[in-house]
Amino acid sequence: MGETAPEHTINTIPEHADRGLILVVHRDRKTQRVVHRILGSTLCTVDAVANVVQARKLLGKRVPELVVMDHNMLLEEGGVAFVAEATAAGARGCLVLLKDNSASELPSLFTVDALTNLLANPMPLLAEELTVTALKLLRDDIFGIEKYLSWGIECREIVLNNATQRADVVDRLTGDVRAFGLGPRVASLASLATDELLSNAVYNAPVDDAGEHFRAAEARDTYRDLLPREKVTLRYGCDARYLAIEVTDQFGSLDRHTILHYLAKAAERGGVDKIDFSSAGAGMGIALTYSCCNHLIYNLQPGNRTQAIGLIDVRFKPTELGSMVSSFNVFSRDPGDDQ
Amino acid sequence: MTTETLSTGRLDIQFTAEGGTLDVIMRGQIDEGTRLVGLADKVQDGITIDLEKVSFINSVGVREWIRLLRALRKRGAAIRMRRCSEAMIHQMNMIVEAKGNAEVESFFAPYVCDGCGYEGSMCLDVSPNATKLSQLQAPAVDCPECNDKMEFNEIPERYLLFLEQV
Repeated sequence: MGETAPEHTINTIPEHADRGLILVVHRDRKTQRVVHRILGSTLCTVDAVANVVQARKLLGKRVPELVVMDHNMLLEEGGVAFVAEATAAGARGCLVLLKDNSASELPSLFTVDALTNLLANPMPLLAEELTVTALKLLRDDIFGIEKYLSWGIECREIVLNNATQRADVVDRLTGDVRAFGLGPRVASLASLATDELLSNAVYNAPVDDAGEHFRAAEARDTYRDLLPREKVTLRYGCDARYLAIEVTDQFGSLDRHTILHYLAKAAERGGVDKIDFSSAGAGMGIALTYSCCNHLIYNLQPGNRTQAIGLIDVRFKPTELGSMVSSFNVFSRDPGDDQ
Repeated sequence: MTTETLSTGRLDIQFTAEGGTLDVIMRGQIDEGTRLVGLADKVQDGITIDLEKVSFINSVGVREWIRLLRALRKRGAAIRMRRCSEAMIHQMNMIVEAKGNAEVESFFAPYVCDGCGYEGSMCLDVSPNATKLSQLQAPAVDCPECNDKMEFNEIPERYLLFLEQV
């Protein structure tokens, strides 16, 4: 599903325009400064406080456009309530920063209802993730992999016309990834992530008027032409920073709670009951995709489309990044909005 | 000793029976078209599965793989896995039952050479490297292109997790 809106253009902000407030809630002064430096580029005012009590006081005076918060504070008493209050007051979103090596806290984080944007990577990835996440929310412009790639990158687009085309499409992507000059590790991760995203889009996304997922029980190896609305679009490209993979369906039936439920499976390794033996799908698609990517993004427009974007970092060795946890975002648009 | 081959979906399986043990080589992809459980019927005492050429295994494929391991366990067969591909290791690290109580003799791991930039999947034997691996340290490997020392291209605590499983 190609985006026609121009990307990578520089927004010019009139001299006296008020871009609003971004509130940083973090104890660490250095992190406050780093986040300020990154998000200052949005031309918003950036204020920082050290705890939720101070944040609540500030909320009484001025509603922030965005809140950026340390994950510990979200888990502390009053953290979730503060996010709920800020959202009710009109904040567009809360970005939660996860410190390095906090993988053990992931399972509890995924059960927090207020969690929508988790940014887990260290610098310099953090700068890119924070900027794009903040601007997507501030501009209410959420769709497309272009936002994550450098200017001018060409993306391959493939539309799935039948259910069993998936394997050939994944083979094609794997070949292209090697042709990008990337190694077998990235090719292996990309092929698994793409297969799982396509499978979800072909079998789990379609719903009827009653909201029934009418393809979910179908055998995954049976040939079937996809009806016009069931066609799924895959796009991917690489700018030597990220390999970006985008899969879009035309139903928009996936919701945030479902995503968090399956992400929790990725966080809780082990578990014999992780695999679903009773249905056609194995119930591991989102968890496996998350495990393959450095950053997983879902753009939701209920009843219209679901777009999943997986980013695999190809600049740094995993040991250089050192992060055991991947970032994720769930962005939503109103059903009727055009973009 | 008899050798046979069969294809299931996009996977080719070559198996050699000797006495009560079965030596199996799998090549291709394990996905929704793969049927593996029947393989357990051919096993009496034990099975060794070479997984080097399993290039892809998705969530539906890993479910079928677990069904095979369960069927083998039910028969009391000793399971050894040899030359496990990165695709298989990824699943074993995500889903404990994808390894179960099998013994992994050797496995592939991602390495990168800082000298020449070569990236490759290198085979590591578990037994001679047991001490290092138990400390979550990856053994040194020479670059096949420039002979420089290659670096492990994953986070050891994440990639070597499957070795800790019971």
